[in-house]
Amino acid sequence: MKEFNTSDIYEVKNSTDPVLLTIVIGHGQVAKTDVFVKGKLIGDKIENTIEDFPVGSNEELRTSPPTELVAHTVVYDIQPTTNETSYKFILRGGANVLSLPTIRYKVQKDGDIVIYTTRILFF
Amino acid sequence: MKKLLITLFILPIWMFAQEDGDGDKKDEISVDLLRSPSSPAFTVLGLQTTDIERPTNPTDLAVSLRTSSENFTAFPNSYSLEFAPGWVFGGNNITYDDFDSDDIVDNLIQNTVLSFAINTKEENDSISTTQVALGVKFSLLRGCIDSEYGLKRDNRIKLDNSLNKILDFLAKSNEEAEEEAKNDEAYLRLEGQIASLVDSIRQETDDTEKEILKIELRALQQQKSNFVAKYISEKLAESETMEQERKELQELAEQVKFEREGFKLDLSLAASWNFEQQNINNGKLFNYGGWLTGAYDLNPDSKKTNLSILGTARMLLSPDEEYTVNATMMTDDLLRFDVGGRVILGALERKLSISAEGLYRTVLNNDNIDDTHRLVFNLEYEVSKNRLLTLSLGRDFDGNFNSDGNLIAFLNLVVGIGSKRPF
Repeated sequence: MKEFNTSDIYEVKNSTDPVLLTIVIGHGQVAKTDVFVKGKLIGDKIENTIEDFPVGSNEELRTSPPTELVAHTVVYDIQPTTNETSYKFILRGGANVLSLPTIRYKVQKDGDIVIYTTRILFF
Repeated sequence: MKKLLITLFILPIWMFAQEDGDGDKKDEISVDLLRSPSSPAFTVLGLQTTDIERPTNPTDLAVSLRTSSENFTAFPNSYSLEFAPGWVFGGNNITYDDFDSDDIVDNLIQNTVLSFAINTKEENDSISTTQVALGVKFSLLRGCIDSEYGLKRDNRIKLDNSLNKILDFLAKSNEEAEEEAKNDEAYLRLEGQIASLVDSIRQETDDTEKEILKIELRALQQQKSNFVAKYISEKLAESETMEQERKELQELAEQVKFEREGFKLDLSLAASWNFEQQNINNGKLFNYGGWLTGAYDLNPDSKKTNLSILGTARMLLSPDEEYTVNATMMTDDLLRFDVGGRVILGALERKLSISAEGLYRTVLNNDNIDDTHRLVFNLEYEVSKNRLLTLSLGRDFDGNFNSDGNLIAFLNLVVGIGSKRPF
């Protein structure tokens, strides 16, 4: 069981446009993700790759004290032909696009899991 | 009873011995001709190699090439490489949905396999010849996966439950960590600094100053995250429940079996060259060709009994090939065309496989060589995982009857142990 923890900041705008979350789980592996905003579960056990999931509007996320997004993802090595796993985290809809570097990890055994936690502070 | 016990004792040892000996097995007759070759480069050289490098990422590929060529300074004597460029270089972008789909673009990206082989052989006159082959296989259609995540329903539910438990554990630990942090002065100070820095950034109008403040904010957020991450990591390491879930998930992976239903179509191309005396200037094209292989499952929904029908067409050109007609040696470019079919019946939850294969061969550009055919009957029974009882009987292209497999040896052994004769 391997863990990766990542954090970053994300600038939001004065607008009602939604901020969208994408998490790409590569190498044909399966995963489940919980997404929390301000400690509240807004995405419950989302399967595999997440594409443009709305995490709130720019206005809602521009708070004081600042809002934090936490995403826990458990990736499961289901592919018998490869032990490679990868995780790509992208936020868009704010002042710019935040694309964190892809994390690539090769598990030791079939059926191993990799836990990714990403924390984003909106400002 | 005693004989039965001896049989039961010896049988597993014999089965292990069979497995160890697979590498040296001589395939007198094979039923694989109709299967689309996953490694056309090996097929075109007629190699039955088991030592194949199969890198799954660019680093492994580079290491394999560098090691085999002694840091790119020498030509290897024997080397077999097979890899799917789509997975090696673009695996990060292949999602489970892409893997599950039967879209032709997804098929080509994921199932195009390149193969490369080098083999050095010594002829009777002690002249070494290096054979080099390149091959590519395209999966044009590959069918759809027959089950969710390649698992039976109850195992699929188990997988869901395990992943849910881990996520719930992470959520609970995260909550506990934040609760505990409320009593930590350093953490509270950090939160205060972050809040004030965010206010400053929002009010800052100078872009350069703003960028400096952002760097500071990113560092503080990292510190805050580390605090919670450390707590969760310790909780995970301590938890016996999580260790149990991890083990169960590993066991579950052994049950995963991705079988694809529907029409499948593969195109394979390969070419090989000979280099006499291992000299690059003596290089000569040995043969090249292509295979088109289609397959269809007639009753794909049945787990107990299924029927598959395969068809193939293959063209192989061998330039300047020597052949004998009426005891006279002749040389010509020979273009062989093979066409055939195979029927496979799977039974006993697919543990038993019975198949029959027929191939017709004609040389398209030479009337001196007669058309020929090959017929093979094959039986396979999966005794346990990775242990097969096999039997192949048939007539090869040269008209000879051949047999292969371990079933006869196995039956001889059982009969031998059970007989009254001393041995």
